[in-house]
Amino acid sequence: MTCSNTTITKRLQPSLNSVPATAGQPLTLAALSINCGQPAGFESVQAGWSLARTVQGPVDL
Amino acid sequence: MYAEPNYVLHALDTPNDPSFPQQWNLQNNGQDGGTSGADIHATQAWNLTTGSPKVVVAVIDSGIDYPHPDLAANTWSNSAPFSQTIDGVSINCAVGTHGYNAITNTCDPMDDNGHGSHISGIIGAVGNNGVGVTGVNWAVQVMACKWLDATGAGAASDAITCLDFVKAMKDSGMNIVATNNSWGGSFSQAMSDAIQVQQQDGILFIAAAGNNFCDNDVVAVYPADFFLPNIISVAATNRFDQLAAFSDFGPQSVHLGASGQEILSTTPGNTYAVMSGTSMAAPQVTGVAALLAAQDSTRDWRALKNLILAGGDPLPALTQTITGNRLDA
Repeated sequence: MTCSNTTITKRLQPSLNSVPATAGQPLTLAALSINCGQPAGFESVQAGWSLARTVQGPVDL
Repeated sequence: MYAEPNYVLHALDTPNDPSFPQQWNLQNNGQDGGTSGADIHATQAWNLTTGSPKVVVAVIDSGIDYPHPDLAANTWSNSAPFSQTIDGVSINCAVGTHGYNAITNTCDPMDDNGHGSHISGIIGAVGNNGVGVTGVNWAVQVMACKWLDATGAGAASDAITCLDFVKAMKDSGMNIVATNNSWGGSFSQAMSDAIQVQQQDGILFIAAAGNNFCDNDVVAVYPADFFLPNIISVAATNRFDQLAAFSDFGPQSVHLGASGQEILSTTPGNTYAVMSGTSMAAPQVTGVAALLAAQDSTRDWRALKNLILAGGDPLPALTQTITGNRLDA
């Protein structure tokens, strides 16, 4: 009840640090960004990608 | 030599309820070996407001023992008969009834379990009346909707009926700011839809995170884990400001912690009991939502939620929650 200039910024979705995604399928991004009772403004998003390659059978790498 | 104003000092407001010293969740002075200050700082909040009978919160649970001497004055009571159609069922409630019973489709939410009365007392046992305990709010209106039976179990459809009842009452003009939901189970799209409707009506949905010491990011508990903006999911802390050993957590799914272990409150038949669980933590948050609404009636559900989340005290024990905070009134 006496909150003063306290901000909280936190990723909410995806909930896990690494998530499987498929090209063309939407992925929900959500973040909490508040300053006491007020919104604290937009957050920027940086997406990093790593590709997992699935192989079957013995292969020479 | 110096001169300074001779300020008048005030004691922090403490109620005269005889069992208040046992309510460590409201003021922890280290009683019973606890950690001083490991509480929701209710006494500081009470210097600003002790609540208002203009604010209504709905407890969706096993009902309320409305004749209880420490609950009666803060139990919502309809001043005029009303009719509503809930899920196609027409109900007619007489003057002086206190909510709804979704099991029997009647206007009598009398508690035959005890869970709902305990939660109601945490939110709003009458404060400073020289009787028993005090709630987070000394004054408030607690409306009960009963869907949990005497064993503490209920059908999801009856919980949704309660949400529909709350919506109907809100739409009829009642100042319902939040519902308390100290229960959990499986996913239900119909329940998610009903909670979304609550959001459209400006009602916060405050939920217990669960009592299985699980990570809700990995194993979801509903309704706490529905990803809806009007939900606040609450973990439980103990009198040492630690995460309670039973409490669920979730870095991206549980919003904050609140006192929830060894909580003294009202139980049916003019009795009092100590209970533990995230069921007891959620109503501390619901109570603070009501205090914030009493302090400033222009705050909408977003402002209430933001203030609750941002205004908490950071605790090392709560790093596995969204805010890392324990509720601070």
